[in-house]
Amino acid sequence: MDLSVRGPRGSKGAFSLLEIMLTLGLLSIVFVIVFTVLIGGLQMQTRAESVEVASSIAREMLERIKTLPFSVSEGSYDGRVPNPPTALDFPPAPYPAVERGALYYVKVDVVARDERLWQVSVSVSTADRLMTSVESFLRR
Amino acid sequence: MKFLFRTRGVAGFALAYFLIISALIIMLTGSTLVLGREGLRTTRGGVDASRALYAAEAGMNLIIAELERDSNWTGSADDVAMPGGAASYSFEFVAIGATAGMDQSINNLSQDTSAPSYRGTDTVPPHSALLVVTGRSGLATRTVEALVVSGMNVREGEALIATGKVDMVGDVKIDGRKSLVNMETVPADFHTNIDFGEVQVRYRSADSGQQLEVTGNLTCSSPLPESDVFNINPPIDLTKLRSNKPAKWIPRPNIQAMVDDGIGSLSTPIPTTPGELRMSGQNYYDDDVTVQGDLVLEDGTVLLVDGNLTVNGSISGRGQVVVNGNTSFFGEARVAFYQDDYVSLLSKGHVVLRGFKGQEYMKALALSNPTLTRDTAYYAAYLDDPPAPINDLVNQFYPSSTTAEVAWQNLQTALGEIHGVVAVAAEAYPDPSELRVNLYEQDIRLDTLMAVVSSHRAGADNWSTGLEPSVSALFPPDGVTYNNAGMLAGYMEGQGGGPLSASRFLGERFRYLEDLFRIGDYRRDGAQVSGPMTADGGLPSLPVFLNYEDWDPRLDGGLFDAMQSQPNKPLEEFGVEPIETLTPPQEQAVLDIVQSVLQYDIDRLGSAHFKGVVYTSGAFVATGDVVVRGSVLVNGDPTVGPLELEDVSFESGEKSFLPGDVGLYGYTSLSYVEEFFDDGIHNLAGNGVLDIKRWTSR
Repeated sequence: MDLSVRGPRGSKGAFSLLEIMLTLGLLSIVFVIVFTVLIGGLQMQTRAESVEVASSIAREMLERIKTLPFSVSEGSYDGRVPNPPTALDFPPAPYPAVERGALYYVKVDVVARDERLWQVSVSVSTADRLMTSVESFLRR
Repeated sequence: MKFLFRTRGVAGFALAYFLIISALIIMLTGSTLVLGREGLRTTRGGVDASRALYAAEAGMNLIIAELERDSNWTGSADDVAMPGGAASYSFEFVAIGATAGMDQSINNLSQDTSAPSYRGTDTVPPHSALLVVTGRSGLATRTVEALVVSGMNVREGEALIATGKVDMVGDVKIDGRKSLVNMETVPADFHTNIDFGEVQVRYRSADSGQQLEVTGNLTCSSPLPESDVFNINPPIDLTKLRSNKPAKWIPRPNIQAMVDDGIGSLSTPIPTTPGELRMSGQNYYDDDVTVQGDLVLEDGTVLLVDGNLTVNGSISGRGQVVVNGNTSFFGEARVAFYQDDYVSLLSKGHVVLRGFKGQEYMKALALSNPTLTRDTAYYAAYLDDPPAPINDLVNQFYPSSTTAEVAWQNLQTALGEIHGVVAVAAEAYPDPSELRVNLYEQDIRLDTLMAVVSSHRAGADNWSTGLEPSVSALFPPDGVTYNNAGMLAGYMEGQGGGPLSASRFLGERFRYLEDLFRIGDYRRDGAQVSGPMTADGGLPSLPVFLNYEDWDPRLDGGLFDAMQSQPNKPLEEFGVEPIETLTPPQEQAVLDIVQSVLQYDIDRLGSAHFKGVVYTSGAFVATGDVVVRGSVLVNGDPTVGPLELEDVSFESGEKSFLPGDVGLYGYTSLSYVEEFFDDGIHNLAGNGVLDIKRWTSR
């Protein structure tokens, strides 16, 4: 197998150092661009999956709070620095954190909007960033 | 494509390869990027959809809260942002009768008739509201729609739902019926959501012959097998017992908020002297309340108590009692007449209903079996009234004294027979006019039976002439006694018990039965109601029926007889004009009087009645012959704390009832009444609690 390449003047010979450097430089730029884009795409996919998981955790939490008959209690409950549970075990699981491929921290904020409504916000974060949050008014 | 592989001697093949491979890499990279972005966009769309849904639900709860404050509220919101700012909600009300769009709500809570909506005519039932709320987040839009009813949304077919353990002793009956007039049975279930532990539902008879009767199912959410969860002795049909059933949803009214609505409108103090207390409108008390006597709630009364409520007497009328503490009734919610009348009790703390142990009293009475005598002085005027031969008949055919056992037995037999006749007629003839005519056509039979229950000398005449031989067969030979309710009432009144004694309670109960079934044209004191005949040719008893709302059992004639004795065709021999058609108020009167007859459970004559809905977030204990007609909801709130009663404890000896627990002792009945919970019309009376009857779109 003859892998040689014809030279610029039609004669057989090696590439000059300059040609090789140029080629490697161009290839490096291409590879950097390609890998950057590739990694970005993969990161977006990973993030989408994480947000999906976080969103499902947030919904799960809010739905669970909705079904709690009496133990909803005003306050801010941050799963990264877990508050001691209330006497009635509020917030319920998956507070303070849940492992689903990664560790997701749950934060629950309950504010009395008035004498009839709780304003409840649930946010879900990984160790370094907020992934999603949902909020609603629940009847007290 | 061959040239691609024949590279030797071909100029530029490297470039071609480079371009092809580069294109492939770019395509792969690009597709990864596109897929990643699309995935993220889809996920964000899902997150937005969730946020929009929760914003719409927030708007829905906001409207319900406003409507609970003011049932006529009709506000609007146009993309009002949630506090976090990521979503918003919108809603708008239109006036009743106006053309409504798909995103417009209708408030029909204060109306007695159905209203139209975008779904069509009469699609919003009376005392309900159709709420439509739209939530938005990003590009996502979600709309929720629900029918909200006035009152709590009691699940159909549930006589009782609890969240704790259940303990029952004695004769306990759990059944269901179509309505107070229609005796057709419907399944009535009894469920507890408790989902752990053994022996969560226990029954034991205190005496031979006592049993647990359940027309529906007795279920529990505990995952353990039925044999571990239920301890029923003597056992009942095992197919009625089910464990591992899903938890059932129980309403959770905000009692604190409801009571707080009354702040600033403190009512005048409750009198401490015993006697009847009548209330109307809204009444608020910021401390414990004790009522020494009967409490009467006039139409739609709301009683708010920011403390404990104790009523040492009966409760009657129509209204809502909301208590932020414990509630204790010693008496009965006796709502004799009006079908729409019932009391809804919402208590944040425990509820204890105590009856009078009337059944126990009657059992003891039968054992001692004293002799009862007819109170001739009481009916002297009546019996001396011409025609005298009838008086002779009364004296001839009925002994002037008898034993308590015979009187009690005859009374129960006659009442049972009347009850049966009326129940069959009510089921066969839903139309009040036809129902009344049918009862009139059975007049002789009913009169004869009424002579056994009360003082009805026309019925006494029937005995002598043998007009109703089939009725005679119901009673032992020579054992028929006259006016047994009156005799029993006289005996009870002679016992001299205190105001909360069983003898006083039973005395009033028997006297009431005597009044109800007395001949229609005579008062209790023996005087005629209004002469021999009314000016327009009606029977003398007719005014009693026509003015039934003001009927005073002591001063007027027998109501039942007055209702059904008026002929529907001319009686020429008497010159009596018939009632051929009834006015709407008269139709309602027929139904009310019929239900007042049907409400008596012949086996439970000594029981105290509570008609309506009981909700508690503490424990529920009924003891001493209590009948609840409606539904009981026990949604235990752990913050309420335990309840300890001196005279009641679980079989295990444990004295503490925890929030959510249920104790039924003595002769207790729970009767689910389907009519109360039909489309929100008969949910809890009064303003205040609202509940979602059903989601129609989500």
